Amino acid sequence: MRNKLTITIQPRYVLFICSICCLVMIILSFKYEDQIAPVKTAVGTVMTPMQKGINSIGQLVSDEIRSFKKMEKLQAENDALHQEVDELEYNNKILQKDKYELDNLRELYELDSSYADYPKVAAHIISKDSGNWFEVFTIDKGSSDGIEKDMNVIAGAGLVGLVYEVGKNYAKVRSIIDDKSNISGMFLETNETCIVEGNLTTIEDGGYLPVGMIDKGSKIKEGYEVVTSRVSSKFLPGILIGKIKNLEVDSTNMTMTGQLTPSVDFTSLNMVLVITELKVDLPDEAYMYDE
Amino acid sequence: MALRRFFLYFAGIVVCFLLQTTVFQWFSLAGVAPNLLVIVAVTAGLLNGSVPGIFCGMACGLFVDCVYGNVIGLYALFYMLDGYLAGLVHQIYSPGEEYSIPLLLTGAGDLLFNFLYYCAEFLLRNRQAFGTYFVKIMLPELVYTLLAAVFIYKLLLWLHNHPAVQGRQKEEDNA
Repeated sequence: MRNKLTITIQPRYVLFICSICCLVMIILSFKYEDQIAPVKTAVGTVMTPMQKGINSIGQLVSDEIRSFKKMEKLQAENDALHQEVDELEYNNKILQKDKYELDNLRELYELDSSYADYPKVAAHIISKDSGNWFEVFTIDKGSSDGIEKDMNVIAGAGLVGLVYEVGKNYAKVRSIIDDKSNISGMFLETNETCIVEGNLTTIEDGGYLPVGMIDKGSKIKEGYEVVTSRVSSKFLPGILIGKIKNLEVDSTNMTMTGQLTPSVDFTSLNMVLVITELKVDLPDEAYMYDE
Repeated sequence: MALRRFFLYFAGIVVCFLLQTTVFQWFSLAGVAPNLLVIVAVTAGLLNGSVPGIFCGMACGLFVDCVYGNVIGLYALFYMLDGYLAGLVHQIYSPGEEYSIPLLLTGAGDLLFNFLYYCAEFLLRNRQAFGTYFVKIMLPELVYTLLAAVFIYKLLLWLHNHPAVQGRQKEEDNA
């Protein structure tokens, strides 16, 4: 008898009501981003240990298969690396000379901040965004390890990205190649600024990121190194981003654009360093671009 | 029965979510991982009807939203739509030993999901290179998802018809 009294609602009304719920949630979570953070953190805290466990198994199996596949590739890579070692040794000698000079200059200008001095925490990458559209990943260190929002993340060769969300035992990092990333950069050689944009299409197609807002009169050349600029709101100054190439004058004839090859290889990233020092807060008016 | 199915799909969502974000990122083809949650949402809709499809899709989306999303509700909306549309087919389809219709629906669901996602997250920011995104992301994801769907749909169908899940249906029918 009870069964016959069950009220049936048309599925399309359920869809309609649920859609409204979703839209309301989207708007609420967009407006009150800070207030909903605990909810996200709660889910993240539960999921992270599970992801970590499964991931270690996945990595093990995947590594086995890869090591098999990569034999031939390694041979070629070995040759290329030998060549690179020679080049690097040569560069190293030049750098050592420069370093001596730099040390003297530093004393003169009392500059003692270089990113070798920043305190760092090492972390493993444990999962990636579930979709394929964004370059966002999770690391296994969180607030309990001293990680905070907006901390810079680097890997051996240079800048990887920025921590944008922190949970107790995990943190999420938006990499510089992510489509939503936008960094204020600076040419190491000339101190001129530029904007490095994250872009999914260019990084997929050519392995580079578009660089804009370079002064037309600047003397930069291809191969110059781009580092994070001093006017960046969140990035500490002087961290290597990559090298510039293919410089072109804009259609506006005011600025130049170029292509930046990131110094970090994002396809094979599994360990990163988080700099546990935040950029000192400056007033918002101090910078125009920067996410 | 409803409760058992609830647990079946809830477990399915959690497992697929974990696999999708971890293991399959290591075994990605062409830099793209399969969208397992679409399979779960579509299967839930196809085997149980629109309303379960809606709720299952919404649960899938909320998981992703909570762990990876910038705003909560966006993924939920898209997955929910997939579940609902698959549920429409439920009335005229009886699950059997052929996979063409479930696979077709999963494929369509994945394309719809990615298209909506492109519109919401990329088109609105004036990134118009739809062709590139289609070839580089949507198409590989579609192929990989369909491959995964063969196994996951089969597994879910088997669990769906399993006595442990179906067990009390007959008693309820008699009552």
